[in-house]
Amino acid sequence: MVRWPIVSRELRAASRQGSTYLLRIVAALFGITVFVGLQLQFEVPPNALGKALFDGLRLTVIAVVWVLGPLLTADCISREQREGTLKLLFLTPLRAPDIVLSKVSLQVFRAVTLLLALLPMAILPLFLGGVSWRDGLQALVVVAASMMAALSAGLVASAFTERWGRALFLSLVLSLFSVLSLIIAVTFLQTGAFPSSLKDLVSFSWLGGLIRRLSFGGMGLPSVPLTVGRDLAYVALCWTVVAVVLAAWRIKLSWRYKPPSRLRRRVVQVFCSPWLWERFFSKWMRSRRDVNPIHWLGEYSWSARLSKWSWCGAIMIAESGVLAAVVWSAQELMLWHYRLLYGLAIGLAFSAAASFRQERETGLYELLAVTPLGGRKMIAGRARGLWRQMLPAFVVLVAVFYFTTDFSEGFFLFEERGPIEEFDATLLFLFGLGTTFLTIVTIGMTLALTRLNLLMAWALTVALGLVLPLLLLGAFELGINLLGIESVARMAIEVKYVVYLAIQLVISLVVGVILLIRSLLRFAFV
Amino acid sequence: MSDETAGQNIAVQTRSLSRSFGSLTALDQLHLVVYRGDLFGFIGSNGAGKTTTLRILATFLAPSGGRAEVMGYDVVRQADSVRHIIGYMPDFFGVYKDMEVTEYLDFFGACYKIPSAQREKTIGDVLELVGLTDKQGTLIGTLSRGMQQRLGLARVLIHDPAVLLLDEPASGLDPRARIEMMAILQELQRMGKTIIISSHILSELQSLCNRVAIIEKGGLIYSGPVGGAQEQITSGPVYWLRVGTDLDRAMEVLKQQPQIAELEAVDSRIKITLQDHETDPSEVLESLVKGGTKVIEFREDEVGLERVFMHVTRGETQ
Ligand SMILES: Nc1ncnc2c1ncn2[C@@H]1O[C@H](COP(=O)(O)OP(=O)(O)OP(=O)(O)O)[C@@H](O)[C@H]1O
Ligand SMILES: [Mg+2]
Repeated sequence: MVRWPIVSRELRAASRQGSTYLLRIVAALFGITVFVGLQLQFEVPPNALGKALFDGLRLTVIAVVWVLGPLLTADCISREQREGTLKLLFLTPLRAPDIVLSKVSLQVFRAVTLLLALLPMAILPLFLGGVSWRDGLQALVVVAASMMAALSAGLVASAFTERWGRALFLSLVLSLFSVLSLIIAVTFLQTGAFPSSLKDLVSFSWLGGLIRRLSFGGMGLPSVPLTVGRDLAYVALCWTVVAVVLAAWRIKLSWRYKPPSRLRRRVVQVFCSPWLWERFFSKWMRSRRDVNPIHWLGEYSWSARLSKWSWCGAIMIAESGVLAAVVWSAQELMLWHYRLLYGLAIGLAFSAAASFRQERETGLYELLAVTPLGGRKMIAGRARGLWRQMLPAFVVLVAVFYFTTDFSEGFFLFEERGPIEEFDATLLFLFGLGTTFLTIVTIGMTLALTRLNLLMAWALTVALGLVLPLLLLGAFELGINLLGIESVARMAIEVKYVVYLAIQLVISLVVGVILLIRSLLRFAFV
Repeated sequence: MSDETAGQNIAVQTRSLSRSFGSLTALDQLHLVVYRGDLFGFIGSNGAGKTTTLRILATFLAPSGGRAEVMGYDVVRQADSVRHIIGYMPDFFGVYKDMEVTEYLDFFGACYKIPSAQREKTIGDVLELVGLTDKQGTLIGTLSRGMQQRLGLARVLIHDPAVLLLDEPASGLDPRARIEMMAILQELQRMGKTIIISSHILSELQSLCNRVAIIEKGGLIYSGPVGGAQEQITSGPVYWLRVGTDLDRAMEVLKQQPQIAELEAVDSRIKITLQDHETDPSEVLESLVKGGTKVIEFREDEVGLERVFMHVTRGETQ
């Protein structure tokens, strides 16, 4: 049963948080970016405008739902766990499924209000023609099913961890997982067989459409048969029920808490603690603690070490995937490395924006602030910790980049001037990596010390550090074109990239100065 | 005492210290003096501004007006020096749940820049002092509330600060641990440390502290020796008398005494209020004995700090 008191309390709390409104703006901006990106990528014949708009809108909404939905739901239960209010709810006659259902219904309500804002835009293509009402209905079913499944992913993530950061991460993973499982299930329902290849996997679904559009640039999606939408709705409903049951089961188990299970401790002991070189390791860690305790703080826990090697592992897996697909041209190989780099940058933005978050939640920040350590050392220690966290992944990325550029002759970067030395290309890549790291870390940490919540700080870090320079670059180009400076007008792409990096550097410099001034202030950031 | 020596004896001093949060004035022109070696009780109703004052002294919060000095260092301009000599224990725990007890202390030791060779010994010492020696390798998240509180005290002592700022350190402790905590504080005082302790458990502060300050709505109401607070609310000292003989006869005798301001029979006892604090109570006793009264009990009434508190504050919160 949905319980009104829980829902109304959350609604009131949400209306009091300024970030709720900010979040809507972020969602809208995100949507617009995806939409415009999709539209810009292809030439649209004028008679197909309605259809193109419709397809773009549909994919945009689905992307928004699958990315933002889980993120927004991820904290709904974990927050109550963290703040101890879940225990209080359990002391009332409410039962676990009641609590979970109330939360879900609230999230659905919020998501629907967000989507309603898009309705006028959705009507437009219907009048432009080329799109039937059946298509509209079909799209509506797909969006609704996606939304249920995406919110469920966030819900499960939220029930399984107390920490917000972990919940966000887990929700994205679960979201990806549910996209894949939904596709597999729908494929099975449609054809009676499981997809046997990647091609099979994408051919049936809206995700397939998205991927095709993003990667191959095909225009116009095939109309998906209505039965696919129906099956999708069934599967999503099942998944939602499973998610609610799972979440209810989990919070019922965990509200009393607590020590980590034997199995978990065992796993941690075997895989995450340095049992082989324990003596050396503890001594080494200790000396680390002397140099900068905050730096040590970023590495002492098994979860910190785990995330460090997970980044490295993820990059290795991605690299193998990229390299295994031999069809890639040398150009594309290079492009993929840049994509991976920016993927890492988005992850780094998350870590940076999460700096000192746990400390501030537990009040430890107050204790640290009154030690003679000082703001500058705290910031430096944290920055070094972030660097260490990403280092193995960076090393793998740069090394593979260097060795693969070796294989080919001409590159898109310097096409006109003949083959580029792989050394130069690597240097540029390294330069890009360093600049991006610097930018993300300064911006992320500055925002981490404000009152913004984690999600907002993360989104803003990405926006300021990666997207804003892109926009400024566009403006710069536009300005040059308008001024009609002939020689500069046709900028080679590598020159554009250097300008982009320069803009990034300027931004990080400005933010860095703000950060430094704050850190030099003798009082804590409260 | 000349100004010079008075200045040297002062550990903590605030002058017109103010702090506001938006439109709310949490501290209003607070003047406070704490001398070196004091065990100083800081009393006030909820929201009176105790935590705010301690946070300012701990250099965590900037004052919006006035000045505060700790051991002669200004908390704003010489914050770094202040941080080295204070130990601040807030009214919450502030722990890393997934850290071990020794690791936690070692971490803060490093934050206070204690050489690592020295840290190990210090950690052993403070753990012993707070009675957590056998919990060294335990994860902090699994410690009980009281143990976490003790760990907090151990953390405060790790860098051997000269001034301790303790915000309600005794909350959450069991009676035995409370008494032990008080003993530890007295021991620390004997070692020459200055301790400021805010608490709501006044009976304990009364026997523990040599000086107290009472604040309400961010302003100082009383500051001085514990006894002085008691004298302030009563006109003269109060004594209780129990006699083995006729109560009325004893009353008759006492009525003759000029140094007695007030007499009252309460149950089987007599409550005697003397004229002023200079009056010698032994004269009263002597006259009673001379008058043939058998005195069983004659003792001074203890005006509890709680009564003083109730008397001088109005219980208004802001
Ligand atoms: N960060 C803050 N923002 C706004 N108001 C604050 C803040 N901190 C304290 N206050 C206000 O300042 C006043 C004094 O608070 P303070 O915490 O100093 O009280 P206290 O004497 O420690 O009370 P208690 O005995 O309950 O701990 C209160 O009215 C409180 O609401
Ligand atoms: Mg307080």
